Amino acid sequence: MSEHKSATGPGGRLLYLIAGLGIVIALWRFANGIGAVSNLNQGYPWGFWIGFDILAGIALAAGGFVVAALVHIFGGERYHPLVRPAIFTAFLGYLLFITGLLVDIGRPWTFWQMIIFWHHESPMFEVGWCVMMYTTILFLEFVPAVLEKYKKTVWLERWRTYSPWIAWALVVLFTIALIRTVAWVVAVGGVLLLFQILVHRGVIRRDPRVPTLLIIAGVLFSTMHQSSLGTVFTMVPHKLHPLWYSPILPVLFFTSAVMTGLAMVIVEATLSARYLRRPPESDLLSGIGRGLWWALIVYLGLRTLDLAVRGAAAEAFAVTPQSLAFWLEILVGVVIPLAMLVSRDSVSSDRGLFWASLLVVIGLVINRLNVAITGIHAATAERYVPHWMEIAVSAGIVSAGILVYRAVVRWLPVIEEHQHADRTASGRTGAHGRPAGGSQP
Amino acid sequence: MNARFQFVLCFCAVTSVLLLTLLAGQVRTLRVEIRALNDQVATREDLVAAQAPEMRLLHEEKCTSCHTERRFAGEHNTRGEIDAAMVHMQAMPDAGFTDEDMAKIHASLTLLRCARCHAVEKLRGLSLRTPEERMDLIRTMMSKPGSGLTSDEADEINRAYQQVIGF
Repeated sequence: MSEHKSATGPGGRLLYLIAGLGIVIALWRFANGIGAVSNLNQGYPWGFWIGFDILAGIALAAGGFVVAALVHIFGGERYHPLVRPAIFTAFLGYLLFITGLLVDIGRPWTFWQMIIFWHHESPMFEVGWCVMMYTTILFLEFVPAVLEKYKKTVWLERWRTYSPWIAWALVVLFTIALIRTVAWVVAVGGVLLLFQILVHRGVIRRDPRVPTLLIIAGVLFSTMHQSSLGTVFTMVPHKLHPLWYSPILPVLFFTSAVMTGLAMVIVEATLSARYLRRPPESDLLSGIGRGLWWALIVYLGLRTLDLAVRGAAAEAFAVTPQSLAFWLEILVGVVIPLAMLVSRDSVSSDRGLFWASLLVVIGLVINRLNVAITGIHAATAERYVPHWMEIAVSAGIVSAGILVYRAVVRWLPVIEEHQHADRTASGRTGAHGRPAGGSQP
Repeated sequence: MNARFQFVLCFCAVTSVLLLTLLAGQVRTLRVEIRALNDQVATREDLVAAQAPEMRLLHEEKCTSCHTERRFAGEHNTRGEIDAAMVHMQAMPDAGFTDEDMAKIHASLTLLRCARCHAVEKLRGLSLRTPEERMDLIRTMMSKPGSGLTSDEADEINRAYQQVIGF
């Protein structure tokens, strides 16, 4: 552990300070109401917290399902070392997002009502259920790291046996809650049940590291969740600027989440390698970088064609704050990274890859803030500029996330090399107890 | 080809494609808008909407703050009843109507005879006709069964119209 950067260095102390300030302001918000810490009003009931913590935060957590699907469903075996860090980042991201949501909405003691009272008309109902279900799936996907650390072989075996059935039950329950049609419940439940039986009987190859059904459930919930955040904004065509409002907003939200998920994997892997003072997985990250280039092409194509077909292109050439924000988002988040990644040298250079990916992440954050704030026309004369305390709460959440990430990476076998070291050590003592090929979930 | 040159080349190419697509979108939108234009540049209604002066029915401003709209509709607005009501209201100490107001309110209430069947926009369109043409039209209305208009009332309506429209 001595080779890790100290958590109490100047950077670490600053993170503790920002996180502490965020917690104090959050407590102040619960004591005095949302008006005491934010500039939200009747015209802008959703502001910085929704745009940054939720819309951007959820998209940045997309790396978990993207890499898990790439490895366990599409056969990208060589990217396996990136799965657990990506899943952990997603799990942590969702927990932080839920914290941000609690601060924004308030009254956390009423959240259980969503589970009992089903409002099928509301896209927020789907968003809420997806968050609940996917966070559970992420917990199930990450729990082996803890079990491996404490060598709970029996529990690990139980996890392998029962986690696919829990995932199956969650998907069926979700289908009942959202669709309430017997035919669909039978179809979805039946197909997944058949799949699991075939895996059990050995007809379909069983993945020794993680039950495939768990991955499928994660991909399902995440896909629906990423897109349904866009669906929420299709309800306000009169309120959202034409540069961002689109009937295909759910598709755009999903594609941009996939694109940013890949970028986040590169950013997170590079930073954690730097933190752990070891070389990054350059060959794997350059492969992800090539995927990111294609994802950028698809997103840019969809976005441009959507604007052109909807007749909203003129808005991009008008000199308005919205058009400036649009160009900033497109140039920083898509065009510049695309140009950076076109060169083979850039893709194979850790530095080039990192900066291109970081720009994609920044572009995504600008995009989500544009959807939540810049692109919103309030019917009233009210205006909205985020209060410094709103920004401080979000900064506190991010800082707390970084501190937790650093602590967990040192504590649990999250990073592959760390696992190798662990495995070598336990191999010497003969007490690790992990099954062959089962180094990761 | 070095990396910097590739970056510049790709940046320019992507930006050009982006701008070209957006421009093509604008051209397409313009074509759709041109195709949607009417063959007839402007209809009579369009001209009326553009040229005819606003009709200001003063009773809606002066009377309906105390009386309901229904009070002014119906049979009682005929044959001297308006004159009687006006004299009564002018005598009220708090009404504060000037003679000019009284004339305009009178005209406005007189036109309610027409507004019972025709929309205000339709009446507004009559401003493009000459007083003679309007009189002919009112006579045509008189001949319709159930109109209940006398020739004196027809003259009064024509004068009221000129008063309201501001000619």
